[in-house]
Amino acid sequence: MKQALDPRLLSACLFCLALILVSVLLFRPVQDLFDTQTLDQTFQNLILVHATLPRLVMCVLCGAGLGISGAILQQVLRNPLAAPDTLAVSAGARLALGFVSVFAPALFGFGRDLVAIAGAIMSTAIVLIIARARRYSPLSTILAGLVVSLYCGALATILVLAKDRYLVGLFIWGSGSLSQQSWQPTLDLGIRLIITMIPLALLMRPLSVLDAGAELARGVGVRVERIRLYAIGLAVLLATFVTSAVGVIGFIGLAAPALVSFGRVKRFPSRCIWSGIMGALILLVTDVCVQLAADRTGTFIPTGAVTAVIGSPLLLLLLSRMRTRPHQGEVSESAFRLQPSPRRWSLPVCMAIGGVLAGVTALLLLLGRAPDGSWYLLRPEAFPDVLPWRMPRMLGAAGAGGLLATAGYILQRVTHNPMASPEIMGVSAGAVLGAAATLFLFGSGYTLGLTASTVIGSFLALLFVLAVSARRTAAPERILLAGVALSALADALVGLLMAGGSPSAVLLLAWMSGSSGGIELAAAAATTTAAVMLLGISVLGARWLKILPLGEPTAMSLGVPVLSSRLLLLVLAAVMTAIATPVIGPITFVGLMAPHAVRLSGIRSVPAGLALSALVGALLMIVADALARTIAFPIQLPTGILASLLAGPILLYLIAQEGRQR
Amino acid sequence: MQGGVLSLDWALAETMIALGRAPAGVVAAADWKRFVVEPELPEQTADLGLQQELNFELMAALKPDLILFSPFLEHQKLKFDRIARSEKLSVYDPSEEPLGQRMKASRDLAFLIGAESALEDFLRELETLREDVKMRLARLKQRPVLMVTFIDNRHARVYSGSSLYADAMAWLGLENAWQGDVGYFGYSTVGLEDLATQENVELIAVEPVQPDISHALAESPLWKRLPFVVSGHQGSIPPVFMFGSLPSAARFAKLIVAHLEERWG
Repeated sequence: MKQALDPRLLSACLFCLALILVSVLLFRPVQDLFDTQTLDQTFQNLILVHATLPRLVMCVLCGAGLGISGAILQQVLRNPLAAPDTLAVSAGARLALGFVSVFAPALFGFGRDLVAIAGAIMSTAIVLIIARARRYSPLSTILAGLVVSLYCGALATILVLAKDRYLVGLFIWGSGSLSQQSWQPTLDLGIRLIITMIPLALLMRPLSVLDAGAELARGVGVRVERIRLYAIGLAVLLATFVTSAVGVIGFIGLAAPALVSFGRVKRFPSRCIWSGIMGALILLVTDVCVQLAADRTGTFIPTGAVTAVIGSPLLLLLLSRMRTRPHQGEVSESAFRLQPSPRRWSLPVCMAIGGVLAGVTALLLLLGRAPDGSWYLLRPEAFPDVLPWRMPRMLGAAGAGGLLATAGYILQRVTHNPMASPEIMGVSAGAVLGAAATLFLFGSGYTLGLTASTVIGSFLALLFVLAVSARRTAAPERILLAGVALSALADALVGLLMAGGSPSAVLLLAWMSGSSGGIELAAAAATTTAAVMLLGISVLGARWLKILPLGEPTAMSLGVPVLSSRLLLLVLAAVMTAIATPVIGPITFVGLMAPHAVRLSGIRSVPAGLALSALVGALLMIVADALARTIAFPIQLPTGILASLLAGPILLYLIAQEGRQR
Repeated sequence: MQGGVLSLDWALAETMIALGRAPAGVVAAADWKRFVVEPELPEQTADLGLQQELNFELMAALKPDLILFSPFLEHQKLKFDRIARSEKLSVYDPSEEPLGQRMKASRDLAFLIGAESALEDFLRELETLREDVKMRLARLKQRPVLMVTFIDNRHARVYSGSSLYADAMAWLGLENAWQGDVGYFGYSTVGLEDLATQENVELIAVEPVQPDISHALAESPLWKRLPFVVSGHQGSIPPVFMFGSLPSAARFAKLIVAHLEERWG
């Protein structure tokens, strides 16, 4: 597979396909246009003129806007992962819309678009502010983007759970439906896109110079930082215009520029234009297929979810041909460099944290709220009545937190990547897909089947991600890209199922939000036991974990079997994730945050690092569990979501701190 | 507050209130006023939290002697049984008769809580209401009714099958204009252009209708030319619980006959 995939050839093929599909779609209505004008006929003509045609144009505009936006972001951040989706643009818009529809529906008088734009700008600004602490280095920017976008997702999920009947619209919007009833939105979007093209044209030249590297660009008088900021702002604006017009159209902004870059198009302006064309064609083909399918089946299918469902496997498939453009020296991440002040207080720290853990656990276990809502500490005589309900959920949460944190620590060391974690590598997404498959194929009665399918799902996901990225293990983007694609696939499928209004969708949503309230004591005890045992096993691999991050040659010269040790450790991490996910849901940030906390603490000993990670993870989950149980009483919030709300800001703070330290 | 019934499904809870046997606790009590409205939820009814995230600790503290749940909580039955006897009742299975499954679920419910005679009284009242409404409708010139809920400015839900609106319309002898496929709950999501189905329908939206939706509709050339818009055959009624049972059906009947008398009278 050596020859490049020419974007011209690919677009020509897509164009022909689009032409055929559009003519199939329009054949009947246009033919009828000249038939006798019955009243029903006038109807059909109205639909053709005011619904079908603007929808086609809308597809082209949206696809082009997202494609160009993605191309700019990938150019500026020098990263094939950069896209409106991965920088939290769409997630912020979606959350803002949810908030307004619940708390201030009157604000909608000002227009849904403005609300969405405000949300998108806010979330992206947060990402950029964090990224600034690390001088917009690609990996940290994407990491911040992913965290913020998962965070927005967590908040939106709470809204849906608490006020679900109001937010059906949010799901449809979140899945991106292109359905139109007038030319007005299309015209509005067209005008906005054209206006955005003017500053983009001015930025073309300085952006092209970036290809030669930031140093060189500075040399010829380009103000690199400023140009980057302007360009990112422009890309965000493009994506938000599209998003506010039709909702979240997944993956076009990531896939279109990626497809173009396979063709090794040298110049940035042509990459930009081809990305726009590619995006437009992909969206057009997808949407016409969706329309034809909807006509046949009579069910509602949001196009945005479909693009993500089609786009993510496509991207995974093409990953094997991926040639990541080499980064300039400025962007190399060196999170595993020697710390400035290596500390050796690992044992006392672990004991102190263990002590705090025990004390806090006991206190939180006793803290509760009476039926009238008042706070109280549980008395011993009430233990038999209350503890059977409280104990399992806390135990399960702690065990799962420990598992995820240990898995995160292992993944970060093995992949030599500070962004690796069960959430971001797609292992949790695999678990979600497994659960979704079981729920929809067999219904909700099979609790045992659900657990089994979750484990199988996360294994398959990990194997898949490993297989895709195995060939050039040194490039962390490849593993991440595969993980992101898988997560997007899971997200999109869930969105698709939710928009379809199936009863199982509600269950899946509850499961995804990390509901630990209903866990049985046996399951909770098993989780914690597994956490302790697997932590013990991972300490056995401490030598590997210490040496692997030093790089392949060093590891081999020290006699470490690189391939098999890596595989074993990854399988261990997958087992941990698979056990934890059914208990606490797929998104907690614990697996990402705990290892960062350990690194910042300055601990270098691997066994101590593993233990400390596990303790931090467990403690975080215990706090989250107690809060979930009490703060909104009588409403109980899902523990997983609450954990992510707690861990998200801490994580972002840690990332910024680590950036400052360097 | 001991020895009550906890109802984990609103359709069952509203039936209990109508039978004069209000439950000791319901899920999401805080939202009742917005979605169910009538019958009113008594002040002292406990809120058991979200349906997907039940407050088991609170449920156990209330020491109920019966827990009623819908098939969607089947997987939690073991835990309910640890608190009290628990019974599953289903409102949604399709049935031959209009409101048939809802009547059957209500009978099962009345048997479980020992309120058979109250149910007989309630069913008699319901039948009187139905005859009254049918009589009033018979005086009007009929057209098919298209019930919708606007989701956003481009999409709406339409109803058929075992949904409350469609079921109640069949029970009242009103013709349902939506003949397309619907999901298990009896509704389906469509783009607004799909509402252009039949010529002479009466469109009734269930409130709330967000302000930007009515604005967007007024601007859409397609919407403005839909026959029921051109002839002014569109309007809205106050909220009726779309997953409700017999009391919601009664509320729907009263609201819709008043609405149609105003429109068609």
